[in-house]
Amino acid sequence: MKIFSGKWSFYLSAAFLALIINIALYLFDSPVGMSEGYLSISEYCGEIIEQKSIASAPVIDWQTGFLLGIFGGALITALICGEWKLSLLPENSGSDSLKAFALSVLKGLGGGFLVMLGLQLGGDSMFGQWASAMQTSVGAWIFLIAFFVTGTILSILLSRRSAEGGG
Amino acid sequence: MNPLALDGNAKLICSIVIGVMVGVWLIKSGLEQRRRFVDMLLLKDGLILKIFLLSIVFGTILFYIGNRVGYERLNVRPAYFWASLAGGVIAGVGVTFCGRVPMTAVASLATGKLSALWVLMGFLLAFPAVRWMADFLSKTVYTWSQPMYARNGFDGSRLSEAAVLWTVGVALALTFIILFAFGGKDKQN
Repeated sequence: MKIFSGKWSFYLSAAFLALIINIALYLFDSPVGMSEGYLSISEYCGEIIEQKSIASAPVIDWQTGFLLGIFGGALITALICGEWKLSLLPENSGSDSLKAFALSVLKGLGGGFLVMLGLQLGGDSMFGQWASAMQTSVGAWIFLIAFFVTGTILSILLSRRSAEGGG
Repeated sequence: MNPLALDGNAKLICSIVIGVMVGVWLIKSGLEQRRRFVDMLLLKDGLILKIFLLSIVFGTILFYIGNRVGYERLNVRPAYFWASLAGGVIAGVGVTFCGRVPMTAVASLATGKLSALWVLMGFLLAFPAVRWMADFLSKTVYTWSQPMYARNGFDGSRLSEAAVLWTVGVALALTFIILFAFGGKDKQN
């Protein structure tokens, strides 16, 4: 069946996600997301750095479990579908030079920092904002519109600038 | 009829199962690919927007029915206008550079893309920064506007039904616009 072997169509993906979020709201009766999972991992890493030793195993809350589940689900699916491939640099990042690697580290650290900073200001993770938008939350819509508009304008401007610079 | 509102180990086990389903969904939809996110921002690929908007259509209708029947309650975090706006802008700038959000970064790492590690480290570094700025934030973006009105749920009033109709209508209209603009076929991998 194509549902198991190939990629899903956008309407199947959309229906599946809508169902998952609604099942999560029914099961947990609390805002769904993964911010607290990331927060507990960040605090655990902070403890390790402060004590300069591996602290005792952290207590896994449900949002950390959710994160671990995503990792496990993605890993199993990638292995089954033959999509697991070890790579050090992002797709289409050019040559495997040291410069490309350094750029990937800088972009990853800086971009990731800003994404999570923005999400914390907005009050939830991207998955949480998505789930809140389904519940007609005005705050989630403001966040998502600002996110897409800013990302699109900046990406197009940077792409034009690099095209002009390159050619 | 009420939501299950699981607690303790049952909640942890169910959250792992739901997480696995989200992981499967991310890979089968191709959303873990950084290229897909970058192309969406450059308006070259409409897949993420189509999935987002159509899931809003399905999800809002499902949630409305679930809420009216009593299976689901409204569960959103408190939102502040300026905080949401500033947060969206900052996250939008960040995603331009890293091309990943928290759920796609985890799935990306699971498929062997080690570049997602730097993004995940960036995510973790943001928490001490937020803690450091907490005092400043609570005196600025969180006080410039009142918390936005949150209903207790869809009570059948005209206001709540109008919110559902507008959300579903606008999301459906935008889905058709994106389908028209990008076409029905999506790039695979």
